[in-house]
Amino acid sequence: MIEVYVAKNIITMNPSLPEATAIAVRDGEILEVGSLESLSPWLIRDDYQIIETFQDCVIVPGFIDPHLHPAMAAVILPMHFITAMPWTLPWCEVPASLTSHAFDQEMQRISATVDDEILIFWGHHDLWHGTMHRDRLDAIDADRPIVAWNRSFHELHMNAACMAQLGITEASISGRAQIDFEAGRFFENGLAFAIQKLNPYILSDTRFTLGLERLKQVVHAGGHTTIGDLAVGLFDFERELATTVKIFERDDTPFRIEQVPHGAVITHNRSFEETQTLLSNLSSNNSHRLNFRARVKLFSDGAFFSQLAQLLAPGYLDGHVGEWLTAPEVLHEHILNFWRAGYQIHVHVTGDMGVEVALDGLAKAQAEHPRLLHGFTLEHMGYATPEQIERARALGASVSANIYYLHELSGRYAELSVGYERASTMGRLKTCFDAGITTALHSDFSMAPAQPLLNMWVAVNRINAQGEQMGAAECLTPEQALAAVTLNAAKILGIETFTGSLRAGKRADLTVLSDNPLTVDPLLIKDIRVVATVFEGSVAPIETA
Amino acid sequence: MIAGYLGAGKTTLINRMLADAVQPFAVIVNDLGALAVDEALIAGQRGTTLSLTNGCACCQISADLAAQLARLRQDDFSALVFEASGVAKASRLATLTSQAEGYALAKVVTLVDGLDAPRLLADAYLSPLIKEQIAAADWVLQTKRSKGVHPSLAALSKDIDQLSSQGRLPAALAPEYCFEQTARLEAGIKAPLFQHRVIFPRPDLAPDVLQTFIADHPEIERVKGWLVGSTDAVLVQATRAHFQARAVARAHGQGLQFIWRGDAELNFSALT
Repeated sequence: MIEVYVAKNIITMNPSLPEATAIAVRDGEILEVGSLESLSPWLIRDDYQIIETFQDCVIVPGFIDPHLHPAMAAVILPMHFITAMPWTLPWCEVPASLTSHAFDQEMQRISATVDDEILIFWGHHDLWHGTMHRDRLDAIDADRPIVAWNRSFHELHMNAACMAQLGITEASISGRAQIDFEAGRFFENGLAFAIQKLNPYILSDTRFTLGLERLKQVVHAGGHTTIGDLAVGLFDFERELATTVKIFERDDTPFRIEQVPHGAVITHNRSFEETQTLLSNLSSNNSHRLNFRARVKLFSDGAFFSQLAQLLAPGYLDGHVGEWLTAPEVLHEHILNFWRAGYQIHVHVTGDMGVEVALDGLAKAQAEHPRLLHGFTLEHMGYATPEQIERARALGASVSANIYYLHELSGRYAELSVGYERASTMGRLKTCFDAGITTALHSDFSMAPAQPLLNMWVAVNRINAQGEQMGAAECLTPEQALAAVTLNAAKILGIETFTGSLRAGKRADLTVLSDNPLTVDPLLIKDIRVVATVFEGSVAPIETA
Repeated sequence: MIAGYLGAGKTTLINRMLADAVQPFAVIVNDLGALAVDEALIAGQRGTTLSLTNGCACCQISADLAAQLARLRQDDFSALVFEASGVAKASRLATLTSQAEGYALAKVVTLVDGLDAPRLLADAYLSPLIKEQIAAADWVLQTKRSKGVHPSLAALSKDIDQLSSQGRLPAALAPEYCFEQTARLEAGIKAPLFQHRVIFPRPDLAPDVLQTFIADHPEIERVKGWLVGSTDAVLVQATRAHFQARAVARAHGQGLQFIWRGDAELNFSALT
């Protein structure tokens, strides 16, 4: 049986046939993309069914987010969101809480409807919600344990009942750095103390499973048919393997996960030969939706949100320096080992000095053992110079960028972190496209919302949270932005032979949209509705709240 | 805490300390990201390893120094040597470990490879890190070079000692010496001889208020760290005999580290 999907527009990302109106699918595979007329040689030879559900919609290749972290998301998603920005979550619509009063009202409302052992709210932000204090949480309910976790994740407050439940006393924390007992406040290094006490609860099997189930809904609602888990082993390698198979390898999961192991974790206490054996065993035990391949994730410099990216001169406004996650020479050794073994190497780089070290490693590897189409990818790439981008092109590197940095941080970073020039050119993506580099967008969820249309909107408009356009010369065209969440993202994961565009022979991975992102007013790209996805020929509708 | 870049000799030093130890002590090696050599060298001794990811609070959920420390407290040992990763900023780790319930930081010892120092200090990627590790140390040891402290290191700190590759450890590094001073479990069998804490003084705290506080508390042995003002910062180095407060353009770390004798709590509210 052939299913024929008809639509107002089908955007294929296949340069030879960029637009179409019908697509024929059999057994999850695309037979042909074209028009009802052009498909007829197939249709006269087999039974077929024309699916008109999406005839007023626009079909694009299934969205791919090539870099997010399911395990991290699984920790946050069971928390109750109370945020200044509205969030659309598949299980609830989170309203914008813009005042202190609104925040308290939301806490009150949620508190009355759930019976969690510890009630955890996420999203408090001083600028909107005023100063948090344990008395304020006690006023919500003094008898039950309550935690208010900051939006930045770097700070939380807990009430007296919560401290009592976790065995935190004034004596046990008095005078410790970055803990304020009176206020119930734990921040930065002090957060480690609170997290240690909360871990048995936030990492419990029940909550972790709930978190992954919710992640599944989030990924689907974003319109994805493929995601990349870009550091399997971030928490606990064995547990992540076991849990993801249980939750995701099911008929009702409308996407696949491309698994890329955390290099430092899988090489830890193993010879490189042992590491290779482990990885090839994992690859040969792949299931349908969950796949390891010859890929690895390595890390260069520190976190972008914490201003620990390593910067070339002139560095940060306040003179502080970033951090290395891996010593440069160790990173180079890992790169060389995996390079010789033929791996596709993904390196987390946030600052331009981090980029420099990664490219130095790639240059060494190319000099020793030249490879073509190797897929070496710079991941995140907050800051990079034009000259580095030229060098990346010459060495054959690809880029997978977190463009949401620009939206969320560029306004503040211009004033407080790196100055206007650098802040306005974070995510230098037009330069990458002009150089001919394979360039993709990712969310790094839960660092940014897992919504490809939102990322496209940022890349095309470069508007920050304060509403100002930053670095207009680096705006992508809508076509480039769409490529960055489809075909280019497939190339980043090394799976472009079977997904990422719509043409005969690829798997039928489609995303169905309410409007055409290439012709709509660019400022409205983020408002396009994801109507459904089709994963390998199976329709998965998206309920709107 | 033993800090220092890769190849400085941290593991060698710890193995020698283990060999010299009168009673066993625990070792934590933070070597995620390093190639798997450190842990193997410590094999057979009492120890464990953990991973810490630089930079992001979210990573603390699993990369859990505090949980490791809590687990070790269940065991019967009198002291802990923490080998920092080669790229760790010593000041940040010192602040982090000061959170651990039941522990007190005895000292931060930074090792520097005397032969490799000129290259490291000229390396654009690494020199800020190496300088930070030296600045944050209570004590700096040059390794591998026998012909005196290298001039490029001597220029950075007056207090650099040499650690010879042969012969005895410096007396001050003998575990019993270090640990009898400070690194007792606060809640352990014996009351600590010394306690340690990092506090965060209120902005614009005047140095003479701090000096008076020290004078009024004869149990205080040592104070080191920064007072941060609205326009500048003051680097404080104080012992019972000597109080030095020097204006600097900016603080290179945060907080004031106090070491005091006895098991009584100190009330720091006059400073915070």
